Order: sequence, then C-alpha cells, then structure tokens
Amino acid sequence: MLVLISEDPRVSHRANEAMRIALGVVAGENEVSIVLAGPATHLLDEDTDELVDGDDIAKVRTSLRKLGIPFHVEAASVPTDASWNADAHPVTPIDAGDRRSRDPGVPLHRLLMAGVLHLLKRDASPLAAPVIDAMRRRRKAQ
Amino acid sequence: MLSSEPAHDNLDAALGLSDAALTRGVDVYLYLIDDAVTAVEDARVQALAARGLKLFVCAYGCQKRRQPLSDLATNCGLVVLTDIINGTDRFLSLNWSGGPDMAPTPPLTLGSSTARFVRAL
Repeated sequence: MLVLISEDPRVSHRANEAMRIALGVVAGENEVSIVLAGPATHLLDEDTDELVDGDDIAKVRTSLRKLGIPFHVEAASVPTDASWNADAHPVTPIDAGDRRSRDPGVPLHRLLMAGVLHLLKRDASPLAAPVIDAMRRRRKAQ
Repeated sequence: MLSSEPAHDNLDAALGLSDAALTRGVDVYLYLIDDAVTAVEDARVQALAARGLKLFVCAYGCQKRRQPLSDLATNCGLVVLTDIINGTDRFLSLNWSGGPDMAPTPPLTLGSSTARFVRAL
C-alpha cells in the first residue's frame, strides 16, 4: 500500500493524521510505502514544536523508524535546513520523473490519504463515477 | 473511509456511494476518521446505518475533538480500519480537505483517468 502525504504539517493537522494512519496500517502487518510530497517533507523537521500536533509527529516518526519504515521524499521539496531529518530516519529521494515514469498499465489501486478520491483495491467501482457526476451537476445547479 | 469535514462534498459522495451499494445488496462499511467524526450522528448517515451500513468512528479523532463517543456507531481504532482495508473487495478513501476552488477536477471515469489524475499530483 502506498500512503501519499501532501499536506503541510506546519499548517494542517492532516499530515500527522495521515502518518498516524500509515503507522496503524503498518501495525496490521501490511506492506506500506510512505511518500512525503511537497511541504509534507516538513514532517521530518527537527523542531516539531513548529508543527501542528508536533508531539504526536515525533512519537509516530519514532515508531515508524523502529519498525524500519523509510520515507520516500520528493527531492525537490526537501528543506535546505541542515537540521532536517536530524534523527536520520531512512529516506529515499524521489523526483517528479519518478512519479511520472510509472508504467501507465500498472493500476494504482493502493493509494491512501492523497487528494480527492482514491481506490485501494481491484478495479474502480462502477458505482462511483455516476454518483460523483450527479453530485457535481447538483452543485453547479445550486 | 471518510476524513473530510461534513460540510465538504465528500460526505455527499460517501452517502451516495453507500446508498447505491446498499441498494444493490452490497455490504458497506463506513469508517469516519479525522474531521469526519463529527458526521457520526448526521441523520443521513444514521438513515443508511438503519438500512444495514456498518458504521465505525475513530475514537481517537473524537477524543482529540472532545466529542463524546456515540452510541450510534462502533467507536474503534486503526486496527479495525486495517481489518476493513484487508477484508473488503473495494476500499474508497475520500480525503480532500480543501475547498472547491482548491480541488483539482476529479475524474469522472474512475479507471485510467484516475491513474492519470494521481500521476499528476
């Protein structure tokens, strides 16, 4: 399972919540990869006092490190501050090319906590498209 | 799984999907987490629960918001969420927290276009 975190932990609690969920799924003995994209790379800032739910972030980060779960981080978004990732959490840099180079024939069924609607298993539900379409039409009509 | 606040369109999407699935006789599990925990006693959610939807709410999320645990849902943690992820044929995750002006246009055909959309993130 891939957990893509793109929220900014300096302004939103949702980055920590996504990481907490990832830890929970890892604890369920699932194979999980965590990607920190954009400002979410600040989850590895040394000073967690500047982050929303900073104490929780430090705890979850420590647990993930003990479990040997690395972070895949978007290289272009890594802060230049030398104190970043002071705990030396294992990280694997990726770049936009890595994100684009995925074989389009490989379905993304296991993506969690990114943007809008993501499907984790098997083929997309045939129920989803008409419901969302109707919802958007209703919104436009209002 | 729904994590956005009840005012967001995601709740409508979750309700619509759940309604359609229940109508087709599908077992539906709805897990409310993070900002969505405040929707646990929403009348529309409870109406679906009365039709057989299995409703779960994140106890940690309630505690963080000082929201009393509800008798109208199963209060639980991430172990249950993991069980749902592992035990279901399909798992939908509705997470977007931004307003409509911030949201990228969601795909209407949830197949290859979803993959294209995700690659563009």
